[in-house]
Amino acid sequence: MQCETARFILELDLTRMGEADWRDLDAVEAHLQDCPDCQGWHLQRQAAENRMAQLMQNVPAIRFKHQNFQRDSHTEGRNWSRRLIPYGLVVAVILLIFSPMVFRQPAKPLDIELAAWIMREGFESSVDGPTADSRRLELERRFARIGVTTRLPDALDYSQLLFSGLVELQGHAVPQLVFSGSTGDWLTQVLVLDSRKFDLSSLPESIPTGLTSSEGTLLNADESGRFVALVVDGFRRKGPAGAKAAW
Amino acid sequence: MADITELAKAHQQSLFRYAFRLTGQTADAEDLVQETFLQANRKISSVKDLGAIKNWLFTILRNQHLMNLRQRGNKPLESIEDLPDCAVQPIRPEGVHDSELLQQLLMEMPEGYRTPLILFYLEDFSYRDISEQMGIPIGTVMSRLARAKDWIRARYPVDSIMNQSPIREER
Repeated sequence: MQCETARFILELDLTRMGEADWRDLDAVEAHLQDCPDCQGWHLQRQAAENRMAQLMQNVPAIRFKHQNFQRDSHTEGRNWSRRLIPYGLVVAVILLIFSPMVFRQPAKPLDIELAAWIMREGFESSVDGPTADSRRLELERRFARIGVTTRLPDALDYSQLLFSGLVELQGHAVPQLVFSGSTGDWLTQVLVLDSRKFDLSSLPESIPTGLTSSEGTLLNADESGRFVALVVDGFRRKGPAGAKAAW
Repeated sequence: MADITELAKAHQQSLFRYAFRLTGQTADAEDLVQETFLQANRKISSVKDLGAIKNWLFTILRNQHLMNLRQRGNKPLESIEDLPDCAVQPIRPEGVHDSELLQQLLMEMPEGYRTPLILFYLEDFSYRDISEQMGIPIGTVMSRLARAKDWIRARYPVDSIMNQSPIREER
């Protein structure tokens, strides 16, 4: 394959075609392995694309949380946020004067029990139940069903899965899995991060977790390196929120 | 049937990011997200394919945005060629934050080009998803994306800032 052809196909981003014809991609992969120029060009282009995606996602934080839309649909106020602006400004000034810490919000602790809201139905725990691998695929399908694309690491034992759900980290919905450990309250918590949404090189040194403080490890969740799993083991935290895991 | 409160929990952040990039204003974006969920709540009983619910919400949001533009009398540019041919200066103006510069450029771009570009970079939508949301053929999505990328790269120094510090968190 010629360099020009390979670069043209890569520029087309065929992986974003959905149900596209993937035959050409194998040839492009082979070409990249043999051609250092194209390999360098491709890496640079990917980095620029990732940078653009990160910039595009860098927007101010939303100022309202889950509304009761069933109730709100019967009310007349459509542009409610504009009417709240004067009151909001007064509150903001008061907060600015008395509590500058408000604008340095700590990361939200990950509440394991609340995180399970999204996937309530559990897996059948019978001998004839799904295999660990089929559970992993089923979990990926469930996340996809609510619009969260992810790849879960296959190095984990999904037969030990306690529950799964979403947690909020740096403004993004992050898939979370919690596995039972070998003894008592010992748990393993896994967060799967998408490198297109997170700058993995600048993750904070510690992330709040529902477990007692312990060391965490990083695990590649897929071959492309796009998804990375943060794995932390520990006892279930029973005290006040705020325990952190160091990576 | 999907529950609107759960949908809001799952999608409000990504819908807000989309709305903000479309409108460029926090208050407008919040109103747009609110209107989207109100409309979704009215129509949710007609949703049959839960797998396509994210596409559905994004489509509602864009339609609402276009309606708002029409009500304000804004006539959107049809083509990227309609833009004035200003001197290309791919340098970040002093004091302007990367994200703000990107937003300024997006707002200059015709809506038909801005939307696929935002959907492409903001969420992990496939060409097919974008095509369905905008009601245009996949080929048109691809050509508009290519032209929008060329246009923005010519004006935005994304390569030159690649090695700079990570994005500042906007609060």
